[in-house]
Amino acid sequence: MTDNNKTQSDTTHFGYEQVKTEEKASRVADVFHSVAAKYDIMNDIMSGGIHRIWKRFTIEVSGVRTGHKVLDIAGGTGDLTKKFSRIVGETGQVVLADINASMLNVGRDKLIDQGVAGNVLFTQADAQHLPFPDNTFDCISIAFGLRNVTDKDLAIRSMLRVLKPGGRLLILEFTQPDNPLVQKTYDAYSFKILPIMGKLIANDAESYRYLAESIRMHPDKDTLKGMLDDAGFSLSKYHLFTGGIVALHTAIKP
Amino acid sequence: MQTTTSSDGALMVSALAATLEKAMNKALNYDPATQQALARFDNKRLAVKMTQPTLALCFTFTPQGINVNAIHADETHNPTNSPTNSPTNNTADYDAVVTGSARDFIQAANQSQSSMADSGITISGNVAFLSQVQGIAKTIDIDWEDAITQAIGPVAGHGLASAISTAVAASKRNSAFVRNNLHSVLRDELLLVPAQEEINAFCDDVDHIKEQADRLEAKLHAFLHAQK
Repeated sequence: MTDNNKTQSDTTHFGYEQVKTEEKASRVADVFHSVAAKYDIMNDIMSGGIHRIWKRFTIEVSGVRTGHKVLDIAGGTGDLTKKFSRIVGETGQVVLADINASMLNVGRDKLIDQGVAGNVLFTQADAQHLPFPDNTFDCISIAFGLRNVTDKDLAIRSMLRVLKPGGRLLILEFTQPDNPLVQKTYDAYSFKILPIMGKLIANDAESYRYLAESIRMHPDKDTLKGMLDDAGFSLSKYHLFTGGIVALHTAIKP
Repeated sequence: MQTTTSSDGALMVSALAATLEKAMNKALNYDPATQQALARFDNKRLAVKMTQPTLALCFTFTPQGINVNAIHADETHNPTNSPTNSPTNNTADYDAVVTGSARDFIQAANQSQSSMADSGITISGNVAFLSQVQGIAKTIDIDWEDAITQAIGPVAGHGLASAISTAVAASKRNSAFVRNNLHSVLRDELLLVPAQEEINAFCDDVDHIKEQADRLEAKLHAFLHAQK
């Protein structure tokens, strides 16, 4: 399947804006450089703290155990990494990867301050070209990161490559609710309230406008499931949360 | 195969697990002896599966504290089929599994004895591990004064903790007194219920009247038979 976020071979979307494909990564990077310092507090305020429960559910269905190797892509400020680190223990390893140096620095400082160290590695890496050998990880998670990736098919294939056979992929991402009432409320919240909150708290309305737009441009849940199947994953399925505004896709490498 | 589920209900269980985990670990911070005893279990896992209402939680005892996770019914795939730290539905993945209804668990919690016989609760796996957990749970001694002092300061904290401690002790004393003396107050003071001796004497009287009635009936039968 061709990644549906590419409208032509040399352009792609950045929110509702069309930009050159090679520009998207740097534009996304600018957004996250801008919001990195206030990322956690904004997540808590925007979601009312529910993002912690979405992430907890993700951990609970991960199948990760002591001694496992886990890759947390777009791990940002390290919410999933912290929990995975506790589960895999001293004999396991968690790699927190993020393409954005600012987010990675915030995550690294936060985790070290919380005493999460020893079995965590920090890597600045592009999800489309993961710098790891084939069949390395027992589990890969990417929470609220896939929609910012320029070529999602390429990233999914890259994840499939570095997963061990039997390993599990977890994609936690915003999606479009099916219920028209929820959709309308969600749109009003995303396009009217969210940028104001971004302006007040992070002094950056534009980045949070991009957030709302990028969710609308992200492949819907069934399309993403199809992309996983086409890439070669098996047993793919998704869970919908909070009225269908968030989906957790899970799939196994055969 | 089902490929999609609305998981808001499951999310509630995850939220409950998060709250439990936070509360338990916070309380254990004020009871280092229990914390150390639990840490010795070294990642052992206890599954508590409740029916009516359906609720399944996994407790993992680690040196850092207790991890509480929800067990989600539709996530059964376990790639390498060996014990995991994340919850699965496979009973073999846990060191011990305790199953029962909410009522059974409440009744068992209120029982003073350690045995769960006749409680309606089913236990499988390492019973010794479960017994150790039960033993530790009974000796939990949380230093509430320390917790209160940290929240409102040493002077007010000590006063409040002492007041709570006195109130709890008085409440325990009073409830024990009521439990031990309720029967004699109802019987001797208020005369609302008869004494055991009075009941026995009453029953003897009834038996005696019955025997006399039987004897009279037999004599009547004999008299009527003689008339014929």
